Amino acid sequence: MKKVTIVIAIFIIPLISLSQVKKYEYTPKVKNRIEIKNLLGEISLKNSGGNTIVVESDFNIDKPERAEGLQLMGAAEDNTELGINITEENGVVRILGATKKVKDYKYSISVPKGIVVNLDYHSPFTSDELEIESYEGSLEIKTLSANVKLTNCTGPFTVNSVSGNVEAIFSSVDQDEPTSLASVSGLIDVSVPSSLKATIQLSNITGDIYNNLDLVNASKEKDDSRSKGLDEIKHSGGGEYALNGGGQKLLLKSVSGNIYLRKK
Amino acid sequence: MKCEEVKINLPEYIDGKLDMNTNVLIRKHIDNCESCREIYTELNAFLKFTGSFKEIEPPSGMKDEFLQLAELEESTSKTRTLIIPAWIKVAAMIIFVFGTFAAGYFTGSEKGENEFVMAEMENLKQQVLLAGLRDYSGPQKIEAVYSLTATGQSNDELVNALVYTLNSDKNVNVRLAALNVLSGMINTNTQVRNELINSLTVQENPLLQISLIQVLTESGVKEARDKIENLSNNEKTDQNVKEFARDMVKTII
Repeated sequence: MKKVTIVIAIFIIPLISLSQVKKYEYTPKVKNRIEIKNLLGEISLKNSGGNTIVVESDFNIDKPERAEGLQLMGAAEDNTELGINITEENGVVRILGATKKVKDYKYSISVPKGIVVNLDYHSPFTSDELEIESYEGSLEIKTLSANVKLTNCTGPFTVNSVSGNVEAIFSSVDQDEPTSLASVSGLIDVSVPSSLKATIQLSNITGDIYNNLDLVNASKEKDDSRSKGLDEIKHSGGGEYALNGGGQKLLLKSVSGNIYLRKK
Repeated sequence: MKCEEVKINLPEYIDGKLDMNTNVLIRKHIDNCESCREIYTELNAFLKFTGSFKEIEPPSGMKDEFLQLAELEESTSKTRTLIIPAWIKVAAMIIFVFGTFAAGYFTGSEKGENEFVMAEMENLKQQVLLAGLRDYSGPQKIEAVYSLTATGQSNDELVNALVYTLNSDKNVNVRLAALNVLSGMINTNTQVRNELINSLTVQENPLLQISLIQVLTESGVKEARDKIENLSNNEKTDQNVKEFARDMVKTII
């Protein structure tokens, strides 16, 4: 019996290590900001209760024997064994993809409370989708063509993209700071709780706007005596609308994409 | 103790939040190191100065956040991480980015005090950066842009600060917010008008280029025509921008 179990164990262990998730922990000296750049693979963010940034990934590259004792170097040196380079300077923690090969792997990053995350997903080589779920905290995201989907998040966010779509489903909306979502040709689709108090600014050039929230036109009144008693049908340059009396700002802009506003 | 370590811990040292040993080490270093001593003196004065602002009420929620962070700080004594309360950062940022206008607005505009503030501000910028107060988030900067202009006054310093933000902030959404605010002033302020025309040559992001072209053409700024045409003819310009520029140029007679 013993022999059998030992033999089975020897076979099982290598199988597990093939899809092993590796972890790297970094404790920032200053809890301020994380800048993630050139991390082309799938990224997910989690809230962490502690003080440590934890990166988990299935990154795995067969290191040739000759590379024993040497570190992988690409755009930056891999100092974590996860294909990424982590450094900290002047209160900013920088997480850089060390090589283009990170594109094929997944990265899950746990972020301590109170840290702003800046995600530069602007490379043409990134994955097509950037999906962040159930994250509470300030995010700054930039993409080129990748779509951004933020589900069950609170914001505040700034998201800008050239051709990517931006979808945000808010569980609640941060009331201290505004959220700004902008895309040139991508669509913007936002769902908010219908009880939310917000001031929504819409800006759109050739796209259309669709809505089922109870919005009240709050645009600054122009000095036009002829318009007294008439409803405004079109407002140049986009409009400002109050939801439930108004509140923190939600700034939505697309040049040629449509904008969709929904009750959650 | 090394200078780098001392500088990072200065705000906590000033607030008296460090343990005895570290206090002694920092004190010793400051006594012997002129550059750190200078920074300490300036930062001390600056933090006392910001502490005297009564008008800046921390946004609700931020004060709670600070208290929570303070508790967290006490419970994790092993790793000492520097946590600067968020609302102090925002207040300091308002002063730093928007300079004397904001400082004057918040302290009440007595001339003598304003002049002191102007000189001190220039000096302290560097030290504020070092204290790690410079990295404000995109959303925080957008909030600052809107709340400062909510006063309804537009003077030179405010316009300069907004133009600076429009032309050089790293965050596209922040630049868009600055443009939004500036576009409200285009018909009443010549400086704004000229700066917006000029910004066409500075912007490289398609969202900003298109928004600028829209603002300028809708406000009938004919002087912008040449620059808009250049953009549409330039090979490097994004296709969306080129098309938009071409269409809009037709509306400028």
